[in-house]
Amino acid sequence: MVIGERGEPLKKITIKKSNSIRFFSTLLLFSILTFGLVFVHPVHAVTPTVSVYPSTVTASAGQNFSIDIRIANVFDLYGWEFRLGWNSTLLDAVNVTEGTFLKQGGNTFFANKTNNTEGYVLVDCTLLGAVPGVSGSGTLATVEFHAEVPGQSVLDLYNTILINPLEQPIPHTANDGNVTTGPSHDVAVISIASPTTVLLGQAIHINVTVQNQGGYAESFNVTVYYNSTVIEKQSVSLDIGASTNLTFTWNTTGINKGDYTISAEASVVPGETDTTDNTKVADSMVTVLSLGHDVAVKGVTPSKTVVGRGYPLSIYITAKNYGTFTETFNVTSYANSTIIQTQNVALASGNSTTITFTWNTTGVSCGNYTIGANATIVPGETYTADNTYTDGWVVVTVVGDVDGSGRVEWGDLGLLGLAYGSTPASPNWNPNADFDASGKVDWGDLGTLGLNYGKSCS
Amino acid sequence: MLLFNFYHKIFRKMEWNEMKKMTVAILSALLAIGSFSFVINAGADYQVQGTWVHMRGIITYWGTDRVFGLIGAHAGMVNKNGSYHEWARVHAIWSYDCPRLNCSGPPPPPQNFTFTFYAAKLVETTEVAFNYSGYAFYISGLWNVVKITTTITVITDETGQIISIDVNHYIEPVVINATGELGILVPPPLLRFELSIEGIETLRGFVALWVIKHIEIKICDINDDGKVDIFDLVKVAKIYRTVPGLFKYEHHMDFNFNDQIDLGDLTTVAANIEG
Repeated sequence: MVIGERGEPLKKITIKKSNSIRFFSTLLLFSILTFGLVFVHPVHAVTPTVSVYPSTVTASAGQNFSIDIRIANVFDLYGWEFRLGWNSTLLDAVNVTEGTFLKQGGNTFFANKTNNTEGYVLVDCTLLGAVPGVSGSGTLATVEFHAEVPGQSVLDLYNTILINPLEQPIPHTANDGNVTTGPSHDVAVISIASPTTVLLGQAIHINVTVQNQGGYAESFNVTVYYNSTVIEKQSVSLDIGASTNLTFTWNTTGINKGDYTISAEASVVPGETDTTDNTKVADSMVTVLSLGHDVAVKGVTPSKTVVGRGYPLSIYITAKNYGTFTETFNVTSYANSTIIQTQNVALASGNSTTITFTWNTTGVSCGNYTIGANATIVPGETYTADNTYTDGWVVVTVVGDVDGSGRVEWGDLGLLGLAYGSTPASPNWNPNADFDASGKVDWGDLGTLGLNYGKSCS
Repeated sequence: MLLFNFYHKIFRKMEWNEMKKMTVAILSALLAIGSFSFVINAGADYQVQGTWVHMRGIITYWGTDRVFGLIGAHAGMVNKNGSYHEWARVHAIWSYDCPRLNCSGPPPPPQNFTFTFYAAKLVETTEVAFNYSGYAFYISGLWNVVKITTTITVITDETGQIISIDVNHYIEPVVINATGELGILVPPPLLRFELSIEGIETLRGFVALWVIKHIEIKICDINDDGKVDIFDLVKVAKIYRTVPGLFKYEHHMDFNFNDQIDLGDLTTVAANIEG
């Protein structure tokens, strides 16, 4: 080139033998390189890369996190394979899913093997059929991990293979990642304690113990509720492993007498995954008492909703003393307006009791009956609306009539069959099929149904 | 494998008469290699623990009828921890419709067609042995033989563009759980085989690939590089959903012997990729 630029005739140039060799060698090398650049690698100007993304990950122990295996600058990719290794004492792979990149080329086949004992996944993916490969950049796969304990691990991407539709390997580079798993974030409500009764308008203290069970110092809020209403919120800061007792004051002024569920909730701190112990409910409800005399019927529960005429029906009635004095009073149960039974009850302030009444249905007409109860008004009682309580219907029918239709027929046999062998603890328990109230749907009930099959109340 | 493919392609382009000549000429040369290989190994003690065999052949006769077909066999005689275990996998397909089964070269124009072929599968192995019952190599057991009528329907839109190709296999049993034996004969210079199954005429042909090793021959190692990996998976993926009679179907990649390249074959390869 220099020669030409000077415009000197070539024949006049004298080149020594060594220079000649150097000249032609340079020319030859230049030609080879030029040829190579122009004809051999027209496309692959940039080497494709397969990388762990993000290359560095931080996660808390006990937490799940995901990384992508991404490809960049690939040309004509038909299939791929990689192995990803890690410190098996630190991490467990929980899920491997295909990315979107290769799917751009059509249907794919995706397979993976996870070995959490040795700490690796082997993942393969290929297009299907005679289709061209996919070019560009994207995600090949996503691997979800569970961080077991704090520590560090390389996410070693190895034995990566990329293949084009001609089944030729595509040269590329693979880039590893790193993961650091730190201690977990975890706060918890350890206990909640409160008095079981409080006089309306007075205040009680609710004691809550919270603990930092994670590996970081935490600041968080603790909120105490009655039912779903906030009583008070407090902020707390705790070092690793520390716990503290907090006292909350509940002033019952302005609320109604009754029974209330008390609970405490620690706010979820950033990065916390174990949130089940952030909330705790007090073992006992708090009864807010009214000043003076006040009794009530809290509940009426018949043992079954269909009873054979002539058979006994148990009715469970709960009475409570919301006043501030010990009371003695009568509780009467009713079927419609007919008295079933009356029992005398003595209750200290704030106490309750459940009494069992037995309704003998002998001679009772078939039909629907509303079951209710009434507590007598005690001297000095002013609020009497809750002295009476009414439950739903109980059907008195011919024995064997499980569904209360008024006739023993195939449908009843089917219902008894479904409940056969069951007890109150069984999921298929049907008290209406336990005609003799033995606590089990058994052959005796089946026999009773058989004897009465086809009968009706009329 | 390369030799097999070479032979296969040449064979497919021939007319039947030409095939005869070419078969003799090419196989004589080609199978001499296999025979040579066998002879070398024949001097060894084949009761040695851990012997694996891979054979592929071309079926040319069914009884006295000329047919075209493919047969593949894998077998192993392995002594593992003092426990001897022998196994074999054999699958064969053949058809009177030689050009259709023997499809190769450029893809034919898409068209509807109905094609009948037969398939035999070893379903239970009873004996795997060298130098047994007059054969250099011998596999016996129970076989299923079916007749398969494949109907290919090419569905196009108004412009003639292919929307899909429907493949319908109608399978009729010919014999079920029939006793039979595959034997390799070594009369120089050709390596031949016979597949005799009770209830059908004997199938005969030439061995095109004959490999005996004392290291494991991996069934899904299609490219024979000693390992099963994405390269093998891609080979199967590229002929996904092909069936005998359809362009690109490869008998030796039908690992589950169901006469089509499907998800089962891909899964088989994927399951054999070593971690």
